[in-house]
Amino acid sequence: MAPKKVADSVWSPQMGWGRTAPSVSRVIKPLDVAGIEAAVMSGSAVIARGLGRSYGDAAQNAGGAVLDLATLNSIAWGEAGIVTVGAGLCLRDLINDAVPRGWFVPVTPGTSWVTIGGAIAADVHGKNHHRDGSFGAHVLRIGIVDGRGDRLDLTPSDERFWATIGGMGLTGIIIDATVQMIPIPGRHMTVSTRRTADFDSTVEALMSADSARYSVAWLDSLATGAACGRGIVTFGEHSSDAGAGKGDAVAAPRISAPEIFPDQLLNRRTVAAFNSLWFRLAPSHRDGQRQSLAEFFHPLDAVAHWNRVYGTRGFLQYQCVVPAGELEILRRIFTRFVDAQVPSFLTVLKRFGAASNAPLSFPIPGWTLTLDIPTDVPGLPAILAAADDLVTHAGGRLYLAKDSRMPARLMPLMYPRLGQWQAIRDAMDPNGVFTSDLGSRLGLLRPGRG
Amino acid sequence: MINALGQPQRILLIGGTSDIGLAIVSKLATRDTEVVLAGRHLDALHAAGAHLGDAVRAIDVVQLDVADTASHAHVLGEQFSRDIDVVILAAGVLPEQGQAMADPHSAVESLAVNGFGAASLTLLSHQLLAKQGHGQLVLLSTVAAARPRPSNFIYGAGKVMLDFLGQGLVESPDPRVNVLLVRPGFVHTKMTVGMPAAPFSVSAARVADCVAQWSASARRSRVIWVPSLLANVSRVLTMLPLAVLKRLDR
Repeated sequence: MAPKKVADSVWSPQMGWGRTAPSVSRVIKPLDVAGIEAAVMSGSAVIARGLGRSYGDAAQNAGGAVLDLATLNSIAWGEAGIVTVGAGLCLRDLINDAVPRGWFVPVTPGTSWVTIGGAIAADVHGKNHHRDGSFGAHVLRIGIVDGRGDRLDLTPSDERFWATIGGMGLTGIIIDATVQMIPIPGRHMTVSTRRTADFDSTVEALMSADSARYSVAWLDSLATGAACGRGIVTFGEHSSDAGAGKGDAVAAPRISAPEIFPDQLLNRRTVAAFNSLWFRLAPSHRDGQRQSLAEFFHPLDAVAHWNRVYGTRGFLQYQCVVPAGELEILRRIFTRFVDAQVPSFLTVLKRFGAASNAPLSFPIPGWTLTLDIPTDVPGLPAILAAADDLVTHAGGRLYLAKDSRMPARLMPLMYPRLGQWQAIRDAMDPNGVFTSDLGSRLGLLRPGRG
Repeated sequence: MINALGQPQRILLIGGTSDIGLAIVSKLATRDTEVVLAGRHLDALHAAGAHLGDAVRAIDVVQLDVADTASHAHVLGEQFSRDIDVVILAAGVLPEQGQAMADPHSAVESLAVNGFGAASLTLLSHQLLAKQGHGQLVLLSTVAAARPRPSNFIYGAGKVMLDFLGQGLVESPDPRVNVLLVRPGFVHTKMTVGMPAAPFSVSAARVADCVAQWSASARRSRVIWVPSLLANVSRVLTMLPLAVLKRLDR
């Protein structure tokens, strides 16, 4: 990476949600699009940073600048649920504005604390991927400032649009986007729950829930033997508001985790106890439960800064996807984590539907497995390397928004269209203005650039 | 970039044949790490690289004369054309005290390596890491820099310059660069073979363990002693009357 020109300023440490591998950047808060254009043309290497929910180093820019676009939070409604929103707008604010109008975001990840720009850059997915695809599938237009400081309006007929979807912010600074929202009958969900005894029955329950708009499975990552892969499958539909209350559809966090958690609080013993309790508390078979949108989509948002429970060493999220026909390999990957007794209290299995047209979009038709893992688990590098090999062998990939440690050599194997994306990116950013720690670490930026 | 597991992608070892340096590299590197060994003798560097074998992704060797400070900017500048995550400065010579006293010219030659050469490489590496925007700088000092002892004060005199600079960088930190100043006691290496081991002696692997522990989650610059007990021993040594020190140093 060439030296990054940054004016004398205060360096600010930046970390991802996993609180690992911090680096220092200069934080720029442009007030408007002209401010963004000025930052792009300033000679600094820059990357946009939303709400820092990427687990790794996607929104870090060691020695360069990060752009905080919180002021770009406009919402402009058009006809038929089409909305144009600022890139810095938080998804929860969009949801709270949309739900009283009878609309909902077409895709939401497991937290509402992401910006529109971040949702596009990571091409986030949700519990409805098998039906509705990822966020980018619902974006009609993206406003962006490219590496020359030019403002562009990109639409799906433009390859630069698709390079920006899932492009991890490296094609330009997203300013705003026009999104097709989905109509909903009210602010509640009707939820079904199935407790499953093992991996096969979890998979079966998920497949039988394919007709539901939203479905996901939580797995007990520490249950062994006949109980290996036991879990809780939930699926849901939007429902109307009989007796619904007023106020925000997605409320503010109820509590905040303090900075006092000791390292290794989440270990095999504590996580096994939690997993076992969580499993037993779930109903074995329940239909028709009413849940709020927040309860169903963003349960962890109830606790602000929940990532602090992992202590100072932080944690990582391992999220892989394998093609639909490679379920046996996914079972092997999961079993290896179980055999190694890797303590993950948030282990999720989910079906993916059709892939996006975006070269770096993560989802492919198949199965995605996610584990939250403390970084100080003994032998973790070797455990993850073995999982990487299986994922690669299966023709799968890791999710860049979650990644904080995968080797660069795997990138072209996991993302075969990487070269195509790089060519488009280089044309959009001929001077290498847009860089990030993730981009450098994974070789997304061509050698000598950035 | 150093990843979430503390694994560096590219390491530069200055003093590429140093036992301690190579032990640190072995500890930090993974099969995805590229290692650059810099030193005076290419043959010896190649041999050291062969020793690392398949444990790393790639090994490169580069000729560097530590005493030739005028060449440093060019050599390091070339290496920094791509990111370097960790620079380890392990270059040094151990002059035989009696011989160095008898031959001031050879004493000054050792000072050119341990002192001026190391100082030049420290400051340049720090500057290049800061310019790059991130990185770790590991400086191998010695307990011999804490207090002149009759048996090795010429060696210590050179190391004092490095130690002082390192301490300065730790105490006036640039947030872009994490500096680790390591002060080991007597380390069993090929440089010290045949010498009587001093109290609190350690292996190169032990030094490497301590560096790796810091490196894995380095959030700030630090000074460490290996073993850690030496921090207190050193405090006592600096206060000892010369007569007592001479008795201990026999």
